[in-house]
Amino acid sequence: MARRTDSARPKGWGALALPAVLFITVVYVLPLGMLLLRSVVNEEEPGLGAYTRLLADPGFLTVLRNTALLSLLSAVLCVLIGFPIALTIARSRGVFRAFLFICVVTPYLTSVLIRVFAIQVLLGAEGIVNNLLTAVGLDRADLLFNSFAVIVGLVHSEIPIVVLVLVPIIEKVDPSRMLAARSLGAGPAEAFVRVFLPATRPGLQVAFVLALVYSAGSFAVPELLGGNAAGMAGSFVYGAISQEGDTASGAAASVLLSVAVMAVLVLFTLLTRQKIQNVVAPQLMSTAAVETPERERARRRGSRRHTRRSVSGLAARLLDRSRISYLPGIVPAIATVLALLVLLPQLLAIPISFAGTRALVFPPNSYSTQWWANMFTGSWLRPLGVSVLVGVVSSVCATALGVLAAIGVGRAGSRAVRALSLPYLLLPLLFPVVVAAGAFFISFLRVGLIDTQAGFVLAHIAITLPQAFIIGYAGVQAINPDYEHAAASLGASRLRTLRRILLPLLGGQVLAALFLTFVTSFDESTIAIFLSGINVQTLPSRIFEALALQTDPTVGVTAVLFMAFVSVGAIAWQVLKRLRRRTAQRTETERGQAA
Amino acid sequence: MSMTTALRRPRTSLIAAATALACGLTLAGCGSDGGAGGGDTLWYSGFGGTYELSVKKALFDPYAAEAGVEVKIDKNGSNVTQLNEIIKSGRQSPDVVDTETATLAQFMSKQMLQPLDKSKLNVTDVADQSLINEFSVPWYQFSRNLYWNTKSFPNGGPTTWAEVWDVSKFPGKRSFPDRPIGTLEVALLASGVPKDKLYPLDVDRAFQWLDKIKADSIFINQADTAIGQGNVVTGLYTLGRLLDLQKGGAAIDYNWAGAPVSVQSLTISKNAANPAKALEVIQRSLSAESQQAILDSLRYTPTVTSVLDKLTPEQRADLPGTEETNKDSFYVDGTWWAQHYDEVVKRWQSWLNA
Repeated sequence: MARRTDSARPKGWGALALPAVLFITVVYVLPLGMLLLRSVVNEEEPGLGAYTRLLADPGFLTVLRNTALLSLLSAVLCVLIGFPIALTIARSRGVFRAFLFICVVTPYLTSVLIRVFAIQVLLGAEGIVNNLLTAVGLDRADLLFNSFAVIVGLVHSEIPIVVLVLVPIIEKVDPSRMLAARSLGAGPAEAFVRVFLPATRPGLQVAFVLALVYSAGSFAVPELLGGNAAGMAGSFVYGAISQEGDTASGAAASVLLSVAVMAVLVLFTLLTRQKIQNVVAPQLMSTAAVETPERERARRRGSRRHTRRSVSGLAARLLDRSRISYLPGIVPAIATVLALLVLLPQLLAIPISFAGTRALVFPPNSYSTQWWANMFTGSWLRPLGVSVLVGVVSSVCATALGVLAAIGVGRAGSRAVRALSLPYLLLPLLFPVVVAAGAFFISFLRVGLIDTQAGFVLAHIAITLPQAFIIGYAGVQAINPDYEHAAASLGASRLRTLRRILLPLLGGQVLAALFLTFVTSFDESTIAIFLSGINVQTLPSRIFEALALQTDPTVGVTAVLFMAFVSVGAIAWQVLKRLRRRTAQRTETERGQAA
Repeated sequence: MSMTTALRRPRTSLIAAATALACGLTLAGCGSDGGAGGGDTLWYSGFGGTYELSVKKALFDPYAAEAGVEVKIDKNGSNVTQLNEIIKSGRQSPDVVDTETATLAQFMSKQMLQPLDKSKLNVTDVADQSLINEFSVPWYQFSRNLYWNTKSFPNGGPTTWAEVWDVSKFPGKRSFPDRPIGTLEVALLASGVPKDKLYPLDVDRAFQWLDKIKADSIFINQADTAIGQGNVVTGLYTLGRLLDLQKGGAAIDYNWAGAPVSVQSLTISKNAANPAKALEVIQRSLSAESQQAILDSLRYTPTVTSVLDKLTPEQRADLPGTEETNKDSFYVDGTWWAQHYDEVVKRWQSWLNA
């Protein structure tokens, strides 16, 4: 219904997208251009010198290989682990669903650095895993500063995104399909593999590519968990630009990383026939996702995949024959265990925050409140204040720019404007954040924006604007343009229509965008680490310093505070939803009575 | 239709207000630009962590209180390339930069420092006047030492670098700094080069020996967590940090065999906004109280006679750069590193990643 022919639209609103387009151009695209320029124009190695040197350097080639292998492996694991969790969330209701959601979303909303901290505690020589190993009589294992630790870190970071992408798509699969398959004689596993899985394929593809791309561009995880044994492109860029002052290498490596990520995305669109928007903005794919399985099935009919499917179908049939798949509650049980594994590492922060000594030993040898006291000293409160300020200012600006742009693009007069500005505004989601951070560093250096609050705000608006835009755009698409037509025909000016019709209808989206952009800015660590200095430092950058410099259980305190904040937010959200549902029900019954 | 009649006006104005506020705040944010500025701030570039806390307490806090100056601190003191970028670009650079032998030599050879105005600096108390040059006055001596985990090796850990390289006798991960200075030297010692024949360094041989141990080592600048948690069992690490870890309850011990010793100096970088204040800090760093405080908290060896003369033989036997420990340790050759650092560090980075 929301789809109308262009002739039925009011005159274009395209101009509203202009501020956002300008902002992205000046603050995001221009720095990226500078980065590209810097990789070929520099004193030491003009031209392609930096590229040829890097590509001949065995060290850098190892970094590239690590990046490809580790992110591929993590993406596969993410989907394997995320799917049962998403499936169970999609199929359950009430407290159990909320519990699983909290398990997955809490880590998503807390800083990646805190998750890295939790993994350090978990995998350390005196960590839980090693203590368990020795308790059952096995030798201690080296679990940190290697590829294993990096994979654990990457999987743990990307699972929440995978689950959040999959849940709505699984929910859209018509359950009667499964019933139909079962009534035709398929066992649970066979029905799942032959009917259910194909229906969720577009979602699985998107989840996989997202996990792959995010892992490939990740910086904090390999930097803090990999040591020198598992360096990845992100940590290489950081080392070159921020530590060694070797901007030429850093810029060239960033360009190579971006090209690789773009290649993956292009390959993805070619192979799956999905739009690139589906990856960077899965929220927008809802309509496409329901349609694709049907179309895809038609396309695939008689193709080679048929045989592969029957192999998995055979395996499923064997599983059904063994009756394992008939056990009630087997998927929820697996999902619960996995979800707890996602959540639990963070809870370690609670005892650690009360540790008696600096060393990260679990359980702590003794207890004290010194780290809590330390949290409330200037060295931690000042960065916290900066983070809150930067988060508030950039979320308000990003939301204003993003939602206006969403109206502009969603109600653009010409199709060309829409087709061009939509992907353009999503650009900051396409490039790895570490590349953007390097670009900001190089270009902000010139204009004196490094180590200033203004610099943080500009960078954070640039990377959060697309989020606000996506949320707003989904909202605009759902609004029937008849409201605007009605207003216009009643003589309302465009400004008035905007103020009195569109913005009020988008109230929920504005709130959601404010929340998401604030959390993103508040959690953002990569750019923060590049841009922090003696004057301005955000909380994530302070945490990074504490993790990289020296053991500091105060990080545990911040983790506890983060979790408390998120839990309060989640509970408030649930209560609000329930209240709203109740009011809606009441009005409906009242209306029913009135009728 | 009930939707349209229920248009909520307050929310509209809320959004308008928020937008206005956002624009206002951004402008305000852009206006109040940071920058350490000149005037009443002093920018010190050090190394962070407990070292920073100790130095603050021994030197900068009392100075700040007395001079009414706000001291801003970063952790990039050993990052020669980064500071060089700042200076080349003409931007403001730190007032006071904390240097060790090798970084000082690099700073000097790249002309990144300001000469000290000796007419305003009293250096008569410095014991070894030969360590004073145009750009620096020695502040203290410090070392990196061979450490081992006493829990992993209850019958005694490795005592020489050759033993650190013996993975079958002392199994477990090693840690080394992620910079070549000091690390190449101990690799050569492990290979059998005598400590008085180290320089000029045989770089090829050093990498050859590092190759032997690479799979069993992590190269990490900040190894406190790894050492404290027992993730690494032996290696090379800054003495002050080792002592701090010991204090924190970590099961580690150290010795003086082949320990690289350096002289630490406070210097003034080229684009410092406040060189006069920096000179005041340097003068204060040579005071007996300040040197005593560094000795007490970090256990680094003072450079002024008034404090040195009070050291007991027992104290001297466990301090870097004293006659007693110099028998086992060696001095890092800053001149060699100034000439070869750039080329060695490129090879080092590539070797590290490969």
